[in-house]
Amino acid sequence: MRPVDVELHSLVFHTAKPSTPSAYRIPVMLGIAVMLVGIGAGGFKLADLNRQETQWLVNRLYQTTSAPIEAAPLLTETEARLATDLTSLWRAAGFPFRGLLQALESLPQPGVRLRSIALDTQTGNVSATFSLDSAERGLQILDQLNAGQPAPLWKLRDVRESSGRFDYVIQGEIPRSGPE
Amino acid sequence: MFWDGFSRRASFGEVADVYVGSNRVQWAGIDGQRGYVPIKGAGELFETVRFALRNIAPRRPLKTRLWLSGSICPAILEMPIAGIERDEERIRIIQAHMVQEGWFHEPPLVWLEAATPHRPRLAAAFDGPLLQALAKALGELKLKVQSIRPWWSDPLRVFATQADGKEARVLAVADGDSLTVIAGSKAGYTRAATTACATRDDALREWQRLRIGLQASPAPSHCAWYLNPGAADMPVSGELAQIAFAGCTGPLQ
Repeated sequence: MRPVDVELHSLVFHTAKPSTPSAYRIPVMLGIAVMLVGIGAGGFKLADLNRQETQWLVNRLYQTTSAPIEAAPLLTETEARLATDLTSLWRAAGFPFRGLLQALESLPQPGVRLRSIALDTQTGNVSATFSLDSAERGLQILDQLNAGQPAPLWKLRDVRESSGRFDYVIQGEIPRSGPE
Repeated sequence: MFWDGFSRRASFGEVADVYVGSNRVQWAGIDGQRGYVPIKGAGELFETVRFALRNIAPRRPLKTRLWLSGSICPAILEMPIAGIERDEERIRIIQAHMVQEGWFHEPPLVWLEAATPHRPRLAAAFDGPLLQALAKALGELKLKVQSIRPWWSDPLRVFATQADGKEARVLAVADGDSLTVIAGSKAGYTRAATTACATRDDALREWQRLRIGLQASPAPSHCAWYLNPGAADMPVSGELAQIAFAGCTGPLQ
């Protein structure tokens, strides 16, 4: 981290210098106007040149890529749906439910209730909602779930408080051992 | 390293400190006195500060540091946007963002870290007219405002100076009405955000939320909490129990 000095005093009391009329103002403004006109005229000329160059490039590209491309055969609607269903079944079969249950069973904390589990078998993501009697217990659960892991697999996603209890939504990623 | 900003400055007897938060005004070093007065409502901030300090105005003119809570001067991380190079444009974006987020009714003044090309920059927003009025009111009470800084900036200065360079570090500053989290490494700042927190439980909950976004998952020894000195009326619980009171600061064990 770079040390910074967040000093606001100069910003709070900053007063811009009032512009004072100058004898040179009109000649300077005229000079600027002449320069702007010159720059504008040059810009139009350049823009015209660029347009010609672009058109030439487009013509060249069109000539080299205008060969006809053969259309790939498409799956029918039924075939596509069947393929998707089979993929999801295949992924669900390879999901490591054993690892998930072991992780959740290793939480014999008093005052902790597992309210819901949502699985995404495609990504391997698990979202579990715990109901707790104190806010600190959420971190204990996280530490316990991540114990022994080289990198934390479970992360806290949300905390909601309702009538003295805390709902902790914890999301984890279960490593796959089955086929993708 | 022990760090106690208020008592250290008070012991020199040269410069007084006035802390202004959305829920309290606190002072130290004004003729050796220290204390605080709660602020009831947002609209009473200015009057409360003036009323509270009128009774303890020093006998002779005294230089004063004005410290602002995170709610009054939140920290922001300004992300580089392609095509926007000028600081004026960046500041306008921050102003619009802060008004949209409900921090300010009018576009605030913005302090922006010195230019670091293509890197996020630390920023702070504040209500300019309010601070002008506060400084003027303090001046009428013989308290000449020497500097105005957010409270989180002093822990950040100490923390950044102590940083050993390569490691990513996270600073969390709970100052009584907000939680400011600033993360970064030697390369620069990677996160800066302030959340309004009325109680310490709120601050703890926000800290847990913000930890989600800290991708580096910093080890606890790299996190630090700093508290508003003298905030002894705030309860201690859970993770925050490891932090001492009365200005004592240090890394979370």
